[in-house]
Amino acid sequence: MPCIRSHPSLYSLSYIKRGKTRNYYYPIWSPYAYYLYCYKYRFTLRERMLPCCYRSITCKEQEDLTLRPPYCCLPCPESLGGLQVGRSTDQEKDHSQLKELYSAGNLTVLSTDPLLHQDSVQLDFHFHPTPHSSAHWHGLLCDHRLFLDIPYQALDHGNRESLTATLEYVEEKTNVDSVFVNFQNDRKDRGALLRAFSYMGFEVVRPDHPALPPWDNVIFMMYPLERDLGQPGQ
Amino acid sequence: MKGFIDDANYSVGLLDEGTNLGNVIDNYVYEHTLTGKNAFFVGDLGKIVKKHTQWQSVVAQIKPFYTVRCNPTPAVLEILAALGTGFACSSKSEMALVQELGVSPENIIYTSHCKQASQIKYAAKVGINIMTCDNEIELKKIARNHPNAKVLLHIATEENIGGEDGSMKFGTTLKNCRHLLECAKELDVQIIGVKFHVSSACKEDQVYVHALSDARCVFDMAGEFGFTMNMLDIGGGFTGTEIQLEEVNHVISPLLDVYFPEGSGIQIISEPGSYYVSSAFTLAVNIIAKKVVGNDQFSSGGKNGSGEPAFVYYMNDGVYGSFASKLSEDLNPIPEVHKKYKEDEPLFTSSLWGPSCDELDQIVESCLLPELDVGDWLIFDNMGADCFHQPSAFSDPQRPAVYYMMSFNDWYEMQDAGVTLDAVMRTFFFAPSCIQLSQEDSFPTEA
Repeated sequence: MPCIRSHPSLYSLSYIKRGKTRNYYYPIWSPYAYYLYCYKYRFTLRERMLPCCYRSITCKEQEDLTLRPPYCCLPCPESLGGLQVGRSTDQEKDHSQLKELYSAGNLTVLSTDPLLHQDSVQLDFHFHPTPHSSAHWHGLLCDHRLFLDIPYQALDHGNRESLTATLEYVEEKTNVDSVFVNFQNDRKDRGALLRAFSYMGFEVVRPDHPALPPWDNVIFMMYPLERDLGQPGQ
Repeated sequence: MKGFIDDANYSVGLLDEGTNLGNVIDNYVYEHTLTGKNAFFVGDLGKIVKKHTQWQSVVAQIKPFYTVRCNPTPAVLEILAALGTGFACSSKSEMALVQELGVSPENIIYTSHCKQASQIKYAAKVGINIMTCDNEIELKKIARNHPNAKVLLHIATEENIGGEDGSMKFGTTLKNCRHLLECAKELDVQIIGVKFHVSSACKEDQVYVHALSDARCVFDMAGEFGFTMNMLDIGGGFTGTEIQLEEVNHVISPLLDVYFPEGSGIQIISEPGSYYVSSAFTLAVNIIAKKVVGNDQFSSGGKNGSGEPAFVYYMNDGVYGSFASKLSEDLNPIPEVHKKYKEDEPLFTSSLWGPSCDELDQIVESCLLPELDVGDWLIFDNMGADCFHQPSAFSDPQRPAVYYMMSFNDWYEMQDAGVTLDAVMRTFFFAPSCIQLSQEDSFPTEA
């Protein structure tokens, strides 16, 4: 079943925040000294009825459509997927707390401190085929599942190699069983994305599946990792 | 998980002269109406055999390796194994499925576009050595995990599907081939051939001409590096019609004679998928809900005046089940009404939707159908390709049943050609739809 909105929204708009952050693991003259980020937010004005009286107030909500809140993957009913009210100023601090977990070849993997968020860990995959181009896959690792946001031009050739490198890291260095990608279902290139990911081995997940976070208007596709030793997920 | 475990004991119904696919569907509709009206597939295995005969008569020199992912149902795999085709697998479970049928590893190739290390290790363990590759990362993965790998270099073709600029390109460019060959030499991985794929959407002559000359170029390059090249894979994308197959043969035959002549020891293979199965399967679905809407709600605009109603029907199978290719716009399903209706029955604009309440779960946007009721059946032809998915924790648990049938003539022809099937063959009992019969009264067909 699709998400049922609890309150009608007056209006909402989404915006993209791009910028670059200093990556202190590299010296200032290195090509990796800065990394570019691109995060998407949605800003909604909602009307809320006050209890016990017939007045309503308008409140502003900011959702981070890129960085997922830590409780998005738990099946408990109170978890509101995608809503983080008023935490926008903390995001920048969080981004700069990303630590480099792994770097080899063209792939660098960054992660938030796993001790801070016990339920989920942000994992960013930065792929640099050349010093001037990069593809970023931002992900959230939750339990044995990894949720990935697709980069801006997901279907470019460079990005396919970045996805292959990302999946290779995930298979060999983590114990993830399934990798999910998601994209808005009203995109014009939806057919091409579905076909392309399907050739890569992804399958569409039915929208009401309990393992999926309750995000609106999004198609999820899942890549199963067939692990050895008869582990679940095969 | 080995795949369709519950279907392991399937049986094939044999039909004699008087019975045809329509009767089979009538019979199962009758049975299902009594037991819950779940959707079901009927597969005519005789059509698969005929397609293979057609292949052998047009392009006998090209060995087909059936793409298992297209339709991994057990009867299809068994009959193709009996006919002697090879198999192209893209996952561990597919490789295991095919091996269980007794197919030897030389007849299996591993063609995933995004291989996992565990899958490569498994292929190495069971002796499946031939695999495709189109980028450096995967080449290194293969080198680490499979010492006896024989790699087919997958080169890109110049197709531009529907003018989309950003479509994900599979296959390496000719420029990059040299780099990949160098890598392979350093990593000590054997390159034994080239693959390219021309999708069914763009089967133009020029695409094949250029692809074959590119392939020849790569063969020569590889020869310089000291690789012995002995295989060319022309991919799939065959829809199943004889005309298309003959056209492709007409274009590539002369080029193959020039670039890869018979005596040079180069084996030509192909990866047909929907070619074999697309027309062999029919899906019957049931209408579970019905809504009457105003005609103005249809974006295509009904031809009828604004006075006539339009109908929205919900069926018990949708894009998250058997109609998955509709989501990626690769499928154009045309429904047929199962029940008999009068010729002059009025037709109404109707749209068909799947059972989930998702806005994407639309099967047919607008078509003209007589007024139907909840419980009526709709039949869709050509539902053999990409409609069956391996069961997993994330797919629909309710998969439609699959029934197989074959006419006696086809079965005799198959046996005459020396092909035997291990499956249980049983004669088919049917109850004509106009007469309500109990099981004891049905007419048995003589073996």
